[in-house]
This record gives sequence, C-alpha cells and structure tokens, in this order.
Amino acid sequence: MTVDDANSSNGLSAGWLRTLSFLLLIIIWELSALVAQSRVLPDPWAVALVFFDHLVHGSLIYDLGITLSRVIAAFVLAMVIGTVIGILMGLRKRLDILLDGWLILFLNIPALVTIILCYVWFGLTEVAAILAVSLNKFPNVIVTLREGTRAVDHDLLQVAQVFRVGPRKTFFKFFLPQLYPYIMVAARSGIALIWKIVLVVELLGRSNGIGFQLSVFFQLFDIASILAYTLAFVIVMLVVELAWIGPMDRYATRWRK
Amino acid sequence: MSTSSLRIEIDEKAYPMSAGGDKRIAIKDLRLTVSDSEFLCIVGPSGCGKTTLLNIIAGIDNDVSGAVTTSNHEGIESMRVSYMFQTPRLLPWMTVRENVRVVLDEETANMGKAEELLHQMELSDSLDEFPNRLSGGMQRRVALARAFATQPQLLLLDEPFVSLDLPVGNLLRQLLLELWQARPTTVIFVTHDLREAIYLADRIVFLSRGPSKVILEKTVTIPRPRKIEDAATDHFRRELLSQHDSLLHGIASSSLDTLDNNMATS
Repeated sequence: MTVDDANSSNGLSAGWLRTLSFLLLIIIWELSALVAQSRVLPDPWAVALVFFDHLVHGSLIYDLGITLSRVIAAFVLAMVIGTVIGILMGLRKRLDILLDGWLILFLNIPALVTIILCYVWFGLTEVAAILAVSLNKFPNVIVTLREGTRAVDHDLLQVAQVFRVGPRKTFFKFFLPQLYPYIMVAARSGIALIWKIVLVVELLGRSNGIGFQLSVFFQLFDIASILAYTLAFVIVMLVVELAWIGPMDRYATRWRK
Repeated sequence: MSTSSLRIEIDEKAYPMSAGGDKRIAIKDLRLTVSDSEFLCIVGPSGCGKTTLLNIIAGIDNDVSGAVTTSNHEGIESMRVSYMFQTPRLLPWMTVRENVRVVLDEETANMGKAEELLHQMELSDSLDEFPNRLSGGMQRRVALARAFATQPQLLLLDEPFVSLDLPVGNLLRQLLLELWQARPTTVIFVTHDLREAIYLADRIVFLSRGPSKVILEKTVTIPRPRKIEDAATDHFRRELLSQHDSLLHGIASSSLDTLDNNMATS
C-alpha cells in the first residue's frame, strides 16, 4: 500500500500520522508513569520541567557543546583517515592484501576494549578520548570507501585521461564524485555510531560532557535528569541530520532524476 | 595548428588469455598513415580490434609493440587528441555546460568555447540540464561538442552513432561534417557501416578479422557535399563491393536491407 492509498482510506496525511504516533508515545509514557507511581519513572511533564531547569540554570548547554565538539572531532578524524586508506586499498591490490587482515581485526574489536586501551596507553586525556572514538569508526569507513573505489567507472576516468585534464582535475572532478554515495553512507552511519560511543568514552574517562553527567545522575538515581539529557542530545542529533546531512545529500544527488 | 601527418605502426597487440598460457593476438603488422586534416574511416567487422586500435592511438593502451608518431618524429603526446566513445560517457553529476568545460583549461573555458560549441549543437536551452534528462541524440551532441571544444589536432571516433535511430544518427553525421569543415582536424572514424563511411570519409581503410591488419585502402571520390542516401554513394558502394567481393566478404555490411536493419535495431 502506498502513502496515497493510506491518505484516501482514512483522510489523514503522512505528517498527521507521524504527529499522532508521537503523541501516542507521550500518552503511553504518561499512563505508565501514572500506574507505576515510582521515582524511577517520572512522567513527561516532570522531565520537561527538569529539562528547562538544566537548560536555564544548569550546565546542559555547556555539556552539549563539549560532547558535540568531541563528536565532530572524532567524526572528521575517522572520515578523513578512513577515506584516504579506503581509497588506497581500493586502488592498490597489494596494499589491500597487506592491510585486509588488520582491518578484519579492527572491525571485530569491541568498542569498550578500544576505549579502555586508549585510556590505559594514552592517559585519561582528550586526545585519548577522541582517538578511541575514531578508532571504532574508521575501519567501517575504510570498508565502505574501498567498496566504492572498486566500483568506480573506469570509462569515465578514460575520458579524463584522453582529454589530459591533469591529475588534480581527474581526482576531484572525475573520481571523487563517483565515491560520493559511499562517503554519504559512511557519514550517516558514522554520526549515528560515534555519538553513542562518545557518551561511553565520557562516562569512563572524562569529567564533562553528556556522558559524564549521565553517570553522575545515575549515581544520584536522578532518572528525570537522565531522560532530559537524553532528550536534549537526541534533538541535537536530529537537527544535525535535518539541517546538515540531509540538505547536503539532496544537493549532491540532485542530478538523479 | 601544426600540420603533420600521423604514422601508425603496430607490430603486435596481444591480450593475455585467462589462466596464463596462450595469448590472443588482436592486431598484427598494421601500418597506416593519416594525412593532416584528413577524414579517415576505418571499416572492419565487429570484434576485429577497432576500438583497441583507437585506444592505442589515443595513448590509453600502452601495452603494445609498435609506435604512433607524427611526421616530425614526435610521439602522440605532442598532439591535442579528442575521443568520442561508443557511448557518450558524460559525467552524470555535471550539467551539460560543465561537462564540456571540464575538459578545457581555464582560459579556454572562460573564452566561452563550451557555450559556443553547445550553441552550434543547438543545445543552448539545455546548458544547465543534467545529462540524464536528455535524449540519446542530445547526449551525443554534448559529447560531440566536448570533442571539438578542445580544438583537437586529432579526433578519434569509435562508432559514436551506432545505437541511434536513422534520422537522429544522420543529423549527427551531418553535424560532425559541418564541425569538421569549419574547424579542420585529422579525424579517424571507426565504423562497421560501409555506407556511413562513404558518406563521411576522404579515405576508407578496411581491416581484416582479428588479428587485424589493413587489407584495402580506398579514396572516396564523391565530391562534397554528399548525401547519405543518393545514387552517387550507392553506386560507389556497389562498385566497391563488386570489385573486392572476395576480399570484403563479411568485412563490410553489403546488403542495403541488412544495413537498414542494423541501424534501426542496434
């Protein structure tokens, strides 16, 4: 059944359905809180109050800023290094064979192990934290970009060669645009993975950021604050997706009609 | 533009067969000279190594024993080469205008060379369209504009109009001739269609089945402007085929009917 069918059958647009589904979630939450009557399940209204309290009087903005900058640093690092190595492995068969085993190893190391080892080896520092996050992401970027490089259309590269456009133009105008869909896939899944791991890194070894605050609230059994912080961070990541990644993707794929 | 003829001497071009062992020889002892600003058509059966030959001339394929040199004893690198492939090979993420500009250096691009040629190809209204939105014929016109925009000294064309229907293909053949007459350049045009070759060429070179070499050269004596379907071209074709019947058997499409079918369906 298509969206149009749904529209005609009950007269509700997709947008309304989404709003309704969201309201339903709030109602279920509210009812559960009412039934439970427990300190560990505050109702939405209480969470909203705590949220605004942290926003105005607390350090929510500061913590969000700290965590977001770690997300960005780790994301950029993982994307740049992963893309470069991925392209090289896609282009050079011998390098691919040489590094493939390491890649499989890295892909299968649990995030927690990387984080612990980074902290043990490099100390409880900002560099260790960001490195730990990047290391969890970049094998994935490599695999995606290697796949993309292997799928590059050599017919188009031949055009660049025949018309002698030079190595710089060949790379940026003929080669890299072909990798764009793969970079986008890596970026999307990268953001989603990284911001979750950043919280764990903060919880284990930083003294600020959302992850650190969550551990404090956990020790205080302050569930309303935990939910408020989570809500704030989810909203920020949604904004990142809607305001940055989405429009960028639409612009770059505008020719696909 | 320097005046120089082109000498193509290929001793052997071979492809390694899979699983080691034997190799398949695509071209053997092929000797060919092309004069400056000549329109040369190379006719041969499918799979005889025509594309391979063009790739060697273009310098894409260097795995060959032999040489392509100009009369001043310089390599092909000294010439500005353009290539129109069997498919248009446009960059889908670039607009029509960008697709032509991308092969130009900045100076030439800023002189409006791309727009000028696209205008001649009657694509002025589609400058900012993406290639996927264009018909096959229009995509070919963009590729043709791109090929001429660099002001090539040597233009290579590899059956560029085969997958088009007859009227669209004929329009493009006409456009190609107009461009070539306005901006003379040496042209090597590969085809399996004898009638197309007679319409376009100053001289036709016939290649044998693989391993291919030159089996016949024929200057087209029909004065320009020619028509693609008139008595003169038809007469020339029939005479050619009857004179060299055994030599050209199965090399050049011989019957008018099969030719029409080929062009309509392929």
